[in-house]
Amino acid sequence: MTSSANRRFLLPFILTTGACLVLLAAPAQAHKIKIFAAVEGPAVSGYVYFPGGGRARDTAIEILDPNGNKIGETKTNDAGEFSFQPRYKCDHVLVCSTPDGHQAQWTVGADELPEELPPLHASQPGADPLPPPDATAAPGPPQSETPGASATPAEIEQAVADAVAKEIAPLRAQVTKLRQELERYRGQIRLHDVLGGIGYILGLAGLIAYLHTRRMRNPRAGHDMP
Amino acid sequence: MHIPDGVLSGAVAASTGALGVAGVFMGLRKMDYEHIARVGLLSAVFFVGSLIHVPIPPASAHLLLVGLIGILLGWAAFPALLVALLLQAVLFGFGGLTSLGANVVIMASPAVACHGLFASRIARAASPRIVFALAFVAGATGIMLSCMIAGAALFLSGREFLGAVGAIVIGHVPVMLIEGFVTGSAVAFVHNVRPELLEAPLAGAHR
Repeated sequence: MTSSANRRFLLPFILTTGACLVLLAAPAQAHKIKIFAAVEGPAVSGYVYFPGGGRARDTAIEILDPNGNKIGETKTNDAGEFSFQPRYKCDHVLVCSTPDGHQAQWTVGADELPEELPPLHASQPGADPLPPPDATAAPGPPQSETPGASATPAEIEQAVADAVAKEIAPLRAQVTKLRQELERYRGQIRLHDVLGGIGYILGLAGLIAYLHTRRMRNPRAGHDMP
Repeated sequence: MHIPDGVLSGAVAASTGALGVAGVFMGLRKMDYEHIARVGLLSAVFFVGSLIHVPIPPASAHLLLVGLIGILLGWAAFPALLVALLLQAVLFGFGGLTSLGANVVIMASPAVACHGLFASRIARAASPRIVFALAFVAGATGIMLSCMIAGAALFLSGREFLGAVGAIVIGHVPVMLIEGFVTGSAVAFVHNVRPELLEAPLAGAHR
C-alpha cells in the first residue's frame, strides 16, 4: 500500500464528501418528525411535518394531560393538519407517532388556553376532536346588536370584547407564524454541525492512530496505553 | 429510520443495547488499527450520507450506505457506526440516546451480514460488471435487512407488525434502488482503483 495509491483513493472520497456538503447547503434535509400546535379561538390546531420535507398525513396524535394520562386523540388530515377542542384548562401534551417509528411531541400550555375552561378533574373522559378547518374563527358568542343609546354595561363590554378580538386577530396570526418559523429554524440542520461531526470522527480516528503508533513503537513498555 | 427516544420499550432498548455493545467489542477486536483512517472515513461517510434526503411521498427517507460500509469494514462497522450514530443523535437529534444501541444494531448488523455474503464474492469477481451487480444487490440487501430489524424492534415494542415493517419497507423501496446504485458505483470504483481493499477487508476471516 504505497502512499501515492492512498492519495489517489482519498481525493475522490474528499470530492464526494464535498459534493454532499454542497447538497446539504440546500434547505434542511432532516429525517425526523415534528409537531407544532397553537391555540386559535376555542380550538387547538396545528400540523405534523418532516423538517425540510413535507407534511405527515394520517398520523395519529395522542393528547395527554400533564400527568401523562390520555385525555383524547386525533389524527392529521391529508394536509398534515389537525384540530381539537380542549375541555380543560391544563397543559396538553400532544404526542404524534407514525407506524415506522417516528415520534414527536408538543406541549400546549394551560396559559395559552381560553379562560373559560374548567380545570382538570381526575375522572373525566377525553377531549372532543373537532373537524379541522376554519381554525381562524374568532372566539366569543354571536355578535350582539350594536348598542343603541341605552347600552347596558354588559353590552358595552361585549362590544369591546368583540372589537378587541377583531383587532388582535392579525397579531395572533403573526405570533403563530413566528412560532412556526422558530420551530422550523430549530429543526434545520446547520452546516457547522455537520462539519463538527465530521471533525469529531476524523479526530477520534487520528487519536486512535496516534496512540496505536505509540504502542507499536514501545511494544514492551511497562504500561499498555489504550 | 433512526428510532427516536421513547418509541422502544425498555426491554427492547436494553437488549439491543447489549447486542450493540457486544457487536462493538467484536468490531474493536477484529479491527486492524493500521487502517483506522479508513474506519474513520467510512464513519464520516455514514454520518453525512444520512443527511442526503430522498423525498418519497408521503414520507421521506435518507441514504444509509450500510452495504458499502459493510463490504469495506466488516465487523469494524459496529464501532464506526456507533460513533456516527452517537454524533447524529447529539448534534441533529436523529435517533435517541436510549435507542442508540438499537440503532447501532439496526445499521451495523446488516453491514456485517453484507460483508459475510458479498465481500469475498466481490473480491473474486471476474469482471467490473459482476462487481457492480453484486454490490448493487449488497446495497439493496443492506437496506432491506435494516428495515426488517427496525420493524422487528418496533413490533417487539408493541407496534402492530404489518404496520411497522410494511411502512418501513415500502417507504424504503426507492431508497433500496438508489443505494444499490450508489453502492455498486462506489465498490466498482474501489475495485478499479484499490482492489486490495476488497480482497483483504478490514475485519474479516483473514485474521
